[in-house]
Amino acid sequence: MDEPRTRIEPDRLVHEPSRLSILVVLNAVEEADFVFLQDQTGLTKGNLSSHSGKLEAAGYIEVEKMFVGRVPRTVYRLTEAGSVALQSYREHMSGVLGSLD
Amino acid sequence: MSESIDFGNLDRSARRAGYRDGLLEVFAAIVLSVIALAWLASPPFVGIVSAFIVLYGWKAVEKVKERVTYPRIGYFQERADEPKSTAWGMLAFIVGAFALMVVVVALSGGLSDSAEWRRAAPLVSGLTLAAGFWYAGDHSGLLRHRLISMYSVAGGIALWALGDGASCSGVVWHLTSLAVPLAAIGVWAMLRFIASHPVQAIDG
Repeated sequence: MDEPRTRIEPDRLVHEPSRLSILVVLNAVEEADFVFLQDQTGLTKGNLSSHSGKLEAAGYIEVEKMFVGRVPRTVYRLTEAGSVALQSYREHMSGVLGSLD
Repeated sequence: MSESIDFGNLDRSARRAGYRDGLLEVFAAIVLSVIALAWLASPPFVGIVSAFIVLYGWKAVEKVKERVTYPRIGYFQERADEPKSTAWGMLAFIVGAFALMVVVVALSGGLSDSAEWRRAAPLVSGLTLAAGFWYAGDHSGLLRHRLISMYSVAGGIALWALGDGASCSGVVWHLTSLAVPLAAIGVWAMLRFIASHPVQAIDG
């Protein structure tokens, strides 16, 4: 009984809508800061911090803190693992939803 | 956050964020005006001016983005993952535009007539600038880029048809006639962008 369940089980980390939004935005740009991610996803600061922390812990995104002049900037980038996870999730969901026909 | 998320729209919105501030149009208007002035001064000077703009122009744009765009919608860098086919497509289009110029000159007066070359020059500038804005429209999804592209072609054809080839004024007119509406559109887009996006708190 385990096998069919495994086949339809998506990557839970990517499947969550807020985290998927972050990955989609970071996949569209080279890099972005916290404000850009918040502006694009519509997430609250707390939610964005929490979800980006989970994605960083999983190695799907990388975070770099820097200063531009005297202004702090936290830059987020999609990692290779994150890109692969997003692509796999896309293919997985296409396959699952396609099988409904 | 809404329960329903349009991920396709989210992807497009992030990819098009760089076009929202109108800076592309303002920068293009400045570049075209400078090239037109250089052309008026001395045509060989155009190459030097163009190279200078290509080398340093985007640095100036980035500085303006740091002051105007990023404090409002956040910092981001566009992804530079253009397929090679795009660059080859653009190159083929520009070569095609020059080939068309040669055909037009050959048909209208002969390849040795320098006046015919000058007369046909707006056709090349019209087509190459149209290609650039059509490409921008592909990325931005903005109708104004498509309209500028079509306007560039129409202007090039009109100036070729009406020109007499006595001077290089056809190209100068074409560049100027594009620069003026581009500047107006860019300033309008920038003012709208500034009005609708207040400066946000700096992230830490």
